[in-house]
Amino acid sequence: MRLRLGRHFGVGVTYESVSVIIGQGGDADYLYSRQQLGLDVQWRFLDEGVLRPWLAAGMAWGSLARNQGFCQDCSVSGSFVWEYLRLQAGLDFVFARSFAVGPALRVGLARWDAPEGARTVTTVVAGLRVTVALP
Amino acid sequence: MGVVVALLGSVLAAEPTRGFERDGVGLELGGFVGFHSASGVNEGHEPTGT
Repeated sequence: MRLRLGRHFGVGVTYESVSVIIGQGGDADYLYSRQQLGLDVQWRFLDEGVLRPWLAAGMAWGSLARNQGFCQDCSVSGSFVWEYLRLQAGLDFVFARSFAVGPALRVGLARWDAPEGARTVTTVVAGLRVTVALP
Repeated sequence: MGVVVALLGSVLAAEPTRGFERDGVGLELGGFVGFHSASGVNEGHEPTGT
């Protein structure tokens, strides 16, 4: 959800959830589960035309869990993760005045309170974003 | 999926609003799907031995 202030600037609140088993079917497999609530500011460079690039910067807070079957001591529920730097770039294809879809790329640096101690987690997310502007 | 998106786009195009080009304050809703990669999560916890 994003609050648009003018034609270029916006403030967004996002929720994301990822839960996936990482590995190749061996003992090293682990469940990576992460839920975060994010806050960012976005700048759209163009306010007309079909192609509209944008940049965003923000932070996110949530929980991250790594559950491994082979490690008895490491099987934990989610612990706190703070993504203190989150940079995004994207290109909106505005097919209608209120509808846009396009690729987006995000990189982030986070501090995770892992069971063995705090560590830095680097995150890369790439995908497709769909946006609808309400009247 | 493609049909749904196309229909949604058509409906919104018919709305008498200015959408993203509207001045002032507006609200947007959205969604994201894609690939998620994280490093630094499992380092140091790989299984030992064979």
